[in-house]
Amino acid sequence: MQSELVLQVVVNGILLGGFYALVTLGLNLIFGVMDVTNFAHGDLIMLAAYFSYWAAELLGMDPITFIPVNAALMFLVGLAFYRAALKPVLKAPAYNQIALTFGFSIFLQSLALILWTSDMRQIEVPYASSVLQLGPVSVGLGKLIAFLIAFGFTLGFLVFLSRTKLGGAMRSVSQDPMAASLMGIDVDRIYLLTSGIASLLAGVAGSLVTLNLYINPFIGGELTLKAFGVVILGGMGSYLGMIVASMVLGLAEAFVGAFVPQGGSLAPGIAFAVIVAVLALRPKGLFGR
Amino acid sequence: MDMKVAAAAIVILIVVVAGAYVLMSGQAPSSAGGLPDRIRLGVILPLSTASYASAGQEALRGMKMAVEEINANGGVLGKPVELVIRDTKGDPNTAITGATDLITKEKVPIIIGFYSSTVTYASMNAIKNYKPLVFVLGASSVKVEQLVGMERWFFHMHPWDYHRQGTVIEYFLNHMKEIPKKIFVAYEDGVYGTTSYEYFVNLSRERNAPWEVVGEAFKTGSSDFSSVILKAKQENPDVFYIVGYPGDYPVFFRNAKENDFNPKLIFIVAPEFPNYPKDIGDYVAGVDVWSPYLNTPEAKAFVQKFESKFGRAPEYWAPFGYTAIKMVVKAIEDAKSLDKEKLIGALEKVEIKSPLGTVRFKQTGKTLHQVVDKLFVVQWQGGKVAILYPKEYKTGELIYPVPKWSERG
Repeated sequence: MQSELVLQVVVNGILLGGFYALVTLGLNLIFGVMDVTNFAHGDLIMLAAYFSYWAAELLGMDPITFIPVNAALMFLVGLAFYRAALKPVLKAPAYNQIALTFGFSIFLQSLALILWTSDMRQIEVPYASSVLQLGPVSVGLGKLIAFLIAFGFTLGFLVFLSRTKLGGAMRSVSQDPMAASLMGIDVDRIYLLTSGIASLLAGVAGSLVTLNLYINPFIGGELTLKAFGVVILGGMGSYLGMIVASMVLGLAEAFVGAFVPQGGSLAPGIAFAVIVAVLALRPKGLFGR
Repeated sequence: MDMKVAAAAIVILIVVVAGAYVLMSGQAPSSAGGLPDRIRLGVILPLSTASYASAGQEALRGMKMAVEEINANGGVLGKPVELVIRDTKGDPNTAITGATDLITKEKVPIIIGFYSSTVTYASMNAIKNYKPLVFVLGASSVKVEQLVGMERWFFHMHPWDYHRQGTVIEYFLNHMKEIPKKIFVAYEDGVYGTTSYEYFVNLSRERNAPWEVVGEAFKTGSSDFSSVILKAKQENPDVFYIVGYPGDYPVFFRNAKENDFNPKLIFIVAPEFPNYPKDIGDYVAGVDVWSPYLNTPEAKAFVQKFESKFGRAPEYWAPFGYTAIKMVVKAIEDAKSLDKEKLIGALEKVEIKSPLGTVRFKQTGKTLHQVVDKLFVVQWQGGKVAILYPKEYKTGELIYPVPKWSERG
């Protein structure tokens, strides 16, 4: 029974970690390329979750089939966000950028309150709550789907970054915008696309959130916090670090929760204690630049 | 010349300031009878930016429904009723500013509202020297009760912690066919959850309940509670009792299903909001302060009206807000005055039929004016709610043990 329990906890931790990775991806991208910490990232996910909710309520669309549309919509949101808000503060001191993205986060929450009120919303996806029994381990289908899609998008994004011309340009800009610009790369355009893609990834995460959670205008806060934990632990801007850190966070929460007395309450705190411990030993994070 | 300009400027300044003060003070001009032209009631609720806003908005919906009805019937003492609303944003400091503003500037005869024990505690502590007339809708922590004690200016709607846990224990002990042997309590780690857990343990002991209690705290709002579920599964309890917030429960049910955790009963606080999806929410039982499935004419009429207005069943904060306004307006009518002492006297005697049943203020032994002291035990059965307790409102029998997840359709 004990080994079965450990196995179940490991599976739960990995599923949680996969979701954290997707939530973090867009935040990490904006930070890596533009050097901006986006406090509104969780709220973009919240916005996408509500788009998904609208699609289900008004058009009867399944959250999974709505992903491409949601991603496209959120891509546009990302473009607008860059033009209206990020671009003017790109060269401003970091605290101005923080104030701006923080303000944008509150703006999105207020907007959601007006559009959807503070009532909790849920999309009924019957298959999401069905369960697969894999030997001694049981897995919720909703979580498994969310994990697989998150995994697919994370992997696809990394391939895009390393194998495509646009990905290469993004990496160049992230390393040295001035040199990239001298090489003929349109840095402003790359920034614009980066904001769009980061928001697109938030769109995918937002669609997946609705498979497993009730949504309200304030769910973004916890997601942003978790994503920050992952980014800091993995090393700002590092994608390998991000994946490892997501798994560490997911597994740490699952194990502390299941095996430490009062762990359900301690788990989120202990996960952050792990972060503090890692940073004390490696201030740049596990894979920091 | 300069002196004249300065003097004129000062006169203009005084006129402007005085004018602004009169306008800002918001007092309706009095009519000849001593009563103002409008009866202005102070309302203070979390309406934005905090996770409590959903409760605050719901209470306000109920209040506005009551005001509409009252004004459609000619108001009170021939005057229309008006709500002067302040938003606490779920923040103690904003609540204190709002409440002080209602007392000192708006000079409303009574303030109705407040939600969350933390915000209410801070507010009562800050405004108690004014001895304002307040009718608190929310706040169940006895810390608030201890703070206000036997103050005559304090009126309270929501049951206190011990009312809720007392009802749960009474139900488990005397109304179930088989008394549970082991109860696993998962409670959120804030004031509400921990106090509830302490009451559950202490009242169980006081009443010589035969069950074993195992407790585990959790962080509210988490996206996954599998670890708590796995722990509970190891304990194999008869009843899995969760004390959390509405957003937590569906996550718990889903995690329970995923981890194939099958206690004989899952029991929660306030199971009737929101409407849980049938595939995971069915068979869930719990303790609630009100039910939209109550079979009384007042409750049915209220639910019907609310549904036609908002397209869904009301959550319990709506009838709370509605009933509070109705009680206050009836007291004003009886007192024929907005004088504080007369109003307190009238409130102490007021008794009306409401969606909550027949309501009046009772002493609890620790405070003077309490409305709700009995709760309901209900269970979702086939997408509807059956009321199991108290006897006079009973509409169904508890399904126990509930089918395993794998046996459900």
